[in-house]
Amino acid sequence: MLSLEAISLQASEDEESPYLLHDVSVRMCRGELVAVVGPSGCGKSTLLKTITGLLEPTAGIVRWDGRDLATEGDLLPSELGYVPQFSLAYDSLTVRESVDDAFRLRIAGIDDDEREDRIDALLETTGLTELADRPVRVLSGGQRRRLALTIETVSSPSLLLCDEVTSGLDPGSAQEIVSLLHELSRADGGRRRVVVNVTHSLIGLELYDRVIVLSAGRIAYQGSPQHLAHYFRADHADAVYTRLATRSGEEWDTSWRKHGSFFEDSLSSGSEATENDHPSETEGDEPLTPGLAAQFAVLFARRIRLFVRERSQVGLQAALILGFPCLVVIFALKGLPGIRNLSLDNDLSVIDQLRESAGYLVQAFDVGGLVSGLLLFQIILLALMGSNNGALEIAGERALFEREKLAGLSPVSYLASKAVFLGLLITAQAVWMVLFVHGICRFPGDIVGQVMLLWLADAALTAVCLAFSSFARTPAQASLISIYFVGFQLPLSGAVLALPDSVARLTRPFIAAYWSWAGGILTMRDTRFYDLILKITKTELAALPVCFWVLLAHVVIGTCVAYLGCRRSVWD
Amino acid sequence: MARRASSKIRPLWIACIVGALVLAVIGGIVVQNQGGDAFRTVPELDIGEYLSNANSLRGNNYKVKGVISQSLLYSRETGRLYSVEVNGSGGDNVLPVLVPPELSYLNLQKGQHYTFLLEVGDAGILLARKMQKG
Amino acid sequence: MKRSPLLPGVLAIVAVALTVRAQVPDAPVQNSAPPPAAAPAPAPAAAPASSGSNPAAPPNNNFLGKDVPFLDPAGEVFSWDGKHWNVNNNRIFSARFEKYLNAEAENTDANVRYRALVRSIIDKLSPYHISPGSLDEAFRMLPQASGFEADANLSDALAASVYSVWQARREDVRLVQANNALEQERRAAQHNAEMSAGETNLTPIGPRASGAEQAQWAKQQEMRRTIQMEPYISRLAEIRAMTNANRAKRELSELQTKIEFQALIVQFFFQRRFQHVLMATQFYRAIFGEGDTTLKVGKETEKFFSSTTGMPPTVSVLDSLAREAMRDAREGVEAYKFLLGKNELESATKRLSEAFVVGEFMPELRTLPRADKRQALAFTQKSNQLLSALEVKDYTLAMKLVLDLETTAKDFDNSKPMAAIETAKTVSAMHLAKAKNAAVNGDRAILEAELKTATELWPRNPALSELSTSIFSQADVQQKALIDFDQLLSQRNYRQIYDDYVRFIAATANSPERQEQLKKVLADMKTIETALERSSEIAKRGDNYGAWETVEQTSKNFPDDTKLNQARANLTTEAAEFVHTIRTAEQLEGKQQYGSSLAWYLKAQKMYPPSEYAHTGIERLAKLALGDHP
Repeated sequence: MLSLEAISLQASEDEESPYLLHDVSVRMCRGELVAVVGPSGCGKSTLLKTITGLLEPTAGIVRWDGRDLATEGDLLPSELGYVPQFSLAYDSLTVRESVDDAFRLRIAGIDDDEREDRIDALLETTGLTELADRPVRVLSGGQRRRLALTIETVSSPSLLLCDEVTSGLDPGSAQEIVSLLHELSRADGGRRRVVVNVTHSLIGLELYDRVIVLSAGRIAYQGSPQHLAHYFRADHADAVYTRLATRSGEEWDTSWRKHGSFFEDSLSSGSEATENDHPSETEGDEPLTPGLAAQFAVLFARRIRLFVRERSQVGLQAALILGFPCLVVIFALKGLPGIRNLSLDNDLSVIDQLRESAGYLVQAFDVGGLVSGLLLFQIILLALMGSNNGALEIAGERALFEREKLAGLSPVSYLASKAVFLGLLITAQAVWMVLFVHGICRFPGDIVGQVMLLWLADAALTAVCLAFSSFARTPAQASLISIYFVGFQLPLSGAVLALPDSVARLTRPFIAAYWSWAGGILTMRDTRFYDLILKITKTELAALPVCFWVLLAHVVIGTCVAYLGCRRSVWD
Repeated sequence: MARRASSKIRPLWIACIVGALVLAVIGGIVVQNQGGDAFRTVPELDIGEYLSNANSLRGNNYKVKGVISQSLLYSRETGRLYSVEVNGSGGDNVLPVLVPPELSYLNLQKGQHYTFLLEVGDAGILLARKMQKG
Repeated sequence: MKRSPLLPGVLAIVAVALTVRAQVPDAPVQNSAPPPAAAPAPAPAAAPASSGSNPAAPPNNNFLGKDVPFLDPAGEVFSWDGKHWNVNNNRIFSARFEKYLNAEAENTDANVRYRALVRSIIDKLSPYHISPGSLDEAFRMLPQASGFEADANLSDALAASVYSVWQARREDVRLVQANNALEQERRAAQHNAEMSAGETNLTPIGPRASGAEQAQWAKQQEMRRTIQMEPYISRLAEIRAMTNANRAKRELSELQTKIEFQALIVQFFFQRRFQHVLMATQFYRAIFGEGDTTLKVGKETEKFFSSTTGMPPTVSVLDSLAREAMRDAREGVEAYKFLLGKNELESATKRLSEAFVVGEFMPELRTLPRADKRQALAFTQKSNQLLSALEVKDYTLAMKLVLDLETTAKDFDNSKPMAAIETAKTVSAMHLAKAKNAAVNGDRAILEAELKTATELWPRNPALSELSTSIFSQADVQQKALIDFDQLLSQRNYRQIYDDYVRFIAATANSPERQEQLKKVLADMKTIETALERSSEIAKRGDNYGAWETVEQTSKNFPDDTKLNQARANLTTEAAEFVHTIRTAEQLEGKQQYGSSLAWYLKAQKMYPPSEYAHTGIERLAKLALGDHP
């Protein structure tokens, strides 16, 4: 049984801040299909999130089967199913794959056959058997809600929370969904569960066991649907909303406190819930959540699958990986020019020496500038690819990730899967870039060192952008910040124009392009190009190990921050 | 204790991140000190001292960063004597550095930056023992 | 300009006239007074070959002097009376000419009227218009013309002559009448005589008279006849004598007037009053009705005319000579105007002077504007100055004048004066050089001879006085200079020696040992001076290091030179840092701190790449470093 005891929730920590929920006390028993209704903004979704644990109540206790969830152990991921308003599944996966992945991510210790059977059964229950091999992209709204319900019930949760799953559907579909919910509350291999549906619509009201009406964060009614109209002195349940609008939430609350006990009693007496309000026999046999590696494997496989299936993504990456190096080499298609050395002997006249050193300076500007520029260009293009890698990776699927996280997905596994996938991508980008440019332009310097430095630059940008992505509210925000971040790399690198010391000292630690560029130049130390570049650049070059270290730090810290971002709950 | 789904980041994690940052900085400094200097353990040549009394430094090893300027003289046996421009206290100075035949594999060119591991020779001439570019 | 064959003669005559006239330039000419003998103008300068004038010589009272003067028109040299002079440099002529050049153009109303009057007279007397009336008119106009100042009363003289002719004519008539009376008387006397002779025939002796008787008779008869006729015959003889005397008297009076008239014409001619010559000849022809008779002038004059013109002097010759002269004067003026326009002043002035010589009183000359004339004047004055300067051998002034003339007159031919000047200067300089040489060698004889020659050649040579002053004080100076030289040498004050080297060169000429010493000092000082100059040039470019190094290097060899030391001290301050660097390097090298020293040299070379000190220092120490480690 789920009971909320005097739950209050304020908008912020401030005592003066308005109440989103005010002294709400409800009880929901296993086997009950509960509807939480009320006008928009009355606190329905807030209530649901409070139950889920996404919001922490300012006061009151949430109890599940008698235990205080805040102090005595939270709901296990498998105990809770949460169906958000919008269906959350990857469009390019099929229905079965989606359900299968959900299985693998949430439940451990089940062999393939059993899993298949159970998936079949689930699909059967939700009526998706025939659509099992269709990609999610082609499903209708109702079908998507069903899929979501299927996915959320793979772990047979005892508490199934549905947020507006019927909204936006035609009455028929809505009725079907409510029927399905009713079914799910009753039958699940002998396990009875509490199914809470937050809804705006009163379609299929008769199927609900309990209706909770909220008005401005307060309870206006809690009882059987039969008495609903009566309590609100309405002719029909549909008129309840009209009635609700006639009085304030506080008044309804007062009214309910005065008269509510009858309706509550009538519900508890008339319902079978009380007697059944025990954990079933099978209770305590909650399925195990898979380990990190298992989750990682599923996620990585899914990421690969998704990547492969998204033609546009593959095309874009191919274009970037193959096209960007081409942009670099067009500046030195015929290779790099030879270098004329300065005369070491002092037998030249002063004029000749001046002439020679002027010539050398010109050469330094031409050749040194070209080499330094080519290196920087490679780095900037890789940085661009890195930002493209990282920016949308988390922000683009945040809602899905949040739901999976709620269902037991570990951020570590999630991030690891991202890291490995992106690592492969980065490797392809950096290695090809370096090899191509070396091959075509005869770019000087230690190729391994340059691959490492450029790989690290790409990785650093990817990690940092992944961090941005993990903290961004929307994919657009993540993209924007990432692009800005890349944009700052060029001017703040000091490779083109030397920065003032104070600015350089402040910004340099964050500019991967500098470290990669400086390190890249140092890889050419044994060549004459290095001397030419030194001649023209005023920016001090850090030692090679420091470059590696800082870039590595970028990657590590970016990943850590991304992990923090992943741990955060980001719900609308 | 907050619930699992709480959106708050725990201070522990923030502490971890800060720790990582500090670690990175410290690490960076360490790496800088270790890796940035090829002859970390060798003292810098006191150019002022050298200019005033090179003979007193005879037999000691020092390191110096400088730019190859000129080849002054070459001898097959002894090596090549270079003038090396260094920035030290008291403005720009030019030091005579003898690069022995053992280091002749280095393609020394005017304008190249080198870090020299030097030994002050008998006549007070600086003898390059090791050289690292950059 | 084509010259008439008559011109030389005209010029010669005119020149004589001019000189004659020049004696009393502005005195009205006395028609009767014979012109005084020409005293030759004292202008020996222009005629170097002349034997010199002799003012003490008694004046020649002959009409035209001892000799016929001769003018060589090409040479502008006029010879006369055994003397020659340049027409252009004749002081009197010059004075006259200059006066003319300075004179206002004679364009006053009176002048114009006068000229018109003269033209009118000539016109009236021309053979085409001549009539007794026009002759009288012309005669009446003469006194009018004489009233003008420009006429100088010459017309009056002419009028007087004409009048006297006419007077003589009236005398002639009287004599004719007297002769007629005498003739009658003669005829009467002759008749009487014849008659008296017949009466004696009436008382003849018989026929038988004896011879003796008869002879006696005849004798008596004869005697009687003679006594009877005697008064008649003597009267007849008287009458005859008187008639003859009268005839002679008549002839004599006409000849006298003729001669007087002719003399006047000649006088006019010599006065170059050609218009008056024309008037006179025309009157002459009108009065005497002839013109080609040879003039009854003195033998010398006749000879002069015939020798210069090749024909005997007749009125016609004079007339044509006058016309020729007038034409020539006009042409001369035209040529002058043309050349002036071309800025060819020399030729212009020559033409004008020629025209002036001939036709001084011609209207064409008299009406020439003063401004035009003054250009010629300026040139003339300068030319005259040049001639004077050349004469007195003032070549400095002559040079200046030649240059002046060159600029003012385009056609001025400087070759001759320049040649003269240059030659004189060169030769003078040569002699001076010889004199100097002699002075140096102490050969006083040659010195004096050369100085004399040089002085004769160019008395006002400025170098001459300098040299002579220096030479004559030489003996003293030389001795003193030698003492100074030795003193300075012992003091090692080479700079003083160098500053005064001219003195010492001369003084040490006879001392080969000292000469050697001086030579060395001068060579050293030249090195020092060159170094100083070079250093100052380098310093001007802002290159103090280079400047110091130059001075420093030199001062190593010449540590005692004050000027060098001064420059060195100044530059050491300017290039203090560089100097310190080099000094430190040197000191350390001295202390066998080769490493440090080499570093300092290298630093110095960096500061000043062309540094020779740094270069050699580095080279030295690099060898030490590589080769033999000390």
